[in-house]
Amino acid sequence: MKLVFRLHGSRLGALTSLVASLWLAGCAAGSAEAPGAYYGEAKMAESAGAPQADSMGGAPGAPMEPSMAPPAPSPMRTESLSEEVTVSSTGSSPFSGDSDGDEESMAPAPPPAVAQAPAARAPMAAPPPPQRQPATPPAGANRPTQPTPTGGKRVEGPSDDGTAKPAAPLLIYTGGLGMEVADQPAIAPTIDKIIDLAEGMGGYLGSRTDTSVTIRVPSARFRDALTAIEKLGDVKRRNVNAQDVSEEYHDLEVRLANLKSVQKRLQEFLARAQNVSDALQVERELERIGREIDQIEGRMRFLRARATFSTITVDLSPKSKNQIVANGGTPPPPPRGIELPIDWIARVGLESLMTLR
Amino acid sequence: MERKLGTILFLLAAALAAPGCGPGFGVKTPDGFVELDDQEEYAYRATSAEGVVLGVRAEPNRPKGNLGFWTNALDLKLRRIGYEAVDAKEIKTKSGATGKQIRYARMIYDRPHTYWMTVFVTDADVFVVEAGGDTRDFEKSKDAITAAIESFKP
Repeated sequence: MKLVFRLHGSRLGALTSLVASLWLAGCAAGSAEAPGAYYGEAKMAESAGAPQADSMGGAPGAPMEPSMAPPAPSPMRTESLSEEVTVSSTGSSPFSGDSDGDEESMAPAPPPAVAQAPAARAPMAAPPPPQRQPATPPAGANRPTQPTPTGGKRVEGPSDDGTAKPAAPLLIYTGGLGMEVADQPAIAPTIDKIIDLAEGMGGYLGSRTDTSVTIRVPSARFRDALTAIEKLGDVKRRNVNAQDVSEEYHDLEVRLANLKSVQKRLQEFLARAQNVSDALQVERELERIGREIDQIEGRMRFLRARATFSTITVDLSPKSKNQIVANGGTPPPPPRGIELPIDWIARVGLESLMTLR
Repeated sequence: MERKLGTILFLLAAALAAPGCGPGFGVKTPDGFVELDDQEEYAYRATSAEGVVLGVRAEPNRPKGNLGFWTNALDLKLRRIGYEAVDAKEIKTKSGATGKQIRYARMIYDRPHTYWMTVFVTDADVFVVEAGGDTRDFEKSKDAITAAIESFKP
């Protein structure tokens, strides 16, 4: 101290300032270990528009001199957040291995990164964030200094840029009709007519039994088809159901985009793998993601097909004799309990007459 | 010699008449129709190019019934299976035979059809003259069919 006083005797004020600065720095380091206070500060900083509040070293409310202001936001930190969102949506991290090559790039993430993750994670990124985050890129890694275009938040945010438009609803129409036709022999020709009608509208036969038929018609012609079919008999039962699968489809789209993003990144990691162990682990992950992508694409194809073509099922039955008489407009014949034992009478009528041979 | 010739002529006439020993009737084929050969169930059947058909059933009058019985039996049977009677009237042919005609309407394959049933009864036979077809086509042939029915000789 004497030496100091000798050298800087005239600068006592500066010494006081130096001591005060050291003391404040010590307070800041100590308070950084208090998670509660730190998280609160991080959220405050985030809500105030400071994207990298985790880099702040000061405790809330602690006086800071201008020289101790938080550093400028680091682009690298932005990328690391983006990675977390994307990877977490797959339910596991490709960095979870213990290989030496990754150790360098996987310093334990500071609490702010974890605290901010939920805000950046999209609804579909259900799995919890991994314990270890790529807080800093590997030394010497030539990474882009801006968020990747396929980052989770970018893909999943429905209105990030304010230009997202609500998609048209994806509806699966299903119709059912129960109809009566004149008699049993009329059922088969009526089914034929229904099939012809479906094919005429660009649809096709789904299935057919002796008394029912299921057709698929373009959804745009669903109502026309129902109206036309109803004219082929007396409708006794009718039901129409519209199932909205827009939400499921949208979720699948988001999951697919995320998985493809992860797949692409894993392929990049695979190309840079330092040893066989890393390569095998990444390949296993790629295989799992590939299967998941196939499943999602299959489900999306199924939903699109179901929405493109509506399903109509028609059950046919013959009218009862009482109904025929009632609808005929003529006086009902007296009840007859017996049939005359004269065979040829039963064959009189249009069916026999018009069957030429 | 003359006796022998008479016998030969008699046998010849009998041989020629043998095929016609069944129920005899006569009907004029309507204009625009063709008569069909070898109709098993029908004693006579003719059709137009559009598919309007005229047919004659010749059945034995057993059990023996009159015109009212056979007409009612056939009418009840047809109504039971969905035929709608729209008209009924007596028919007197040019040959003087009396019959009963009932006209029906029926939907087949979503198309309206017309069916006329005319019944003639003799001591030995029941003749049912049937005419039918798609209503649109039947209307065009109606006059020819009416003329054919009026020409019927039981």
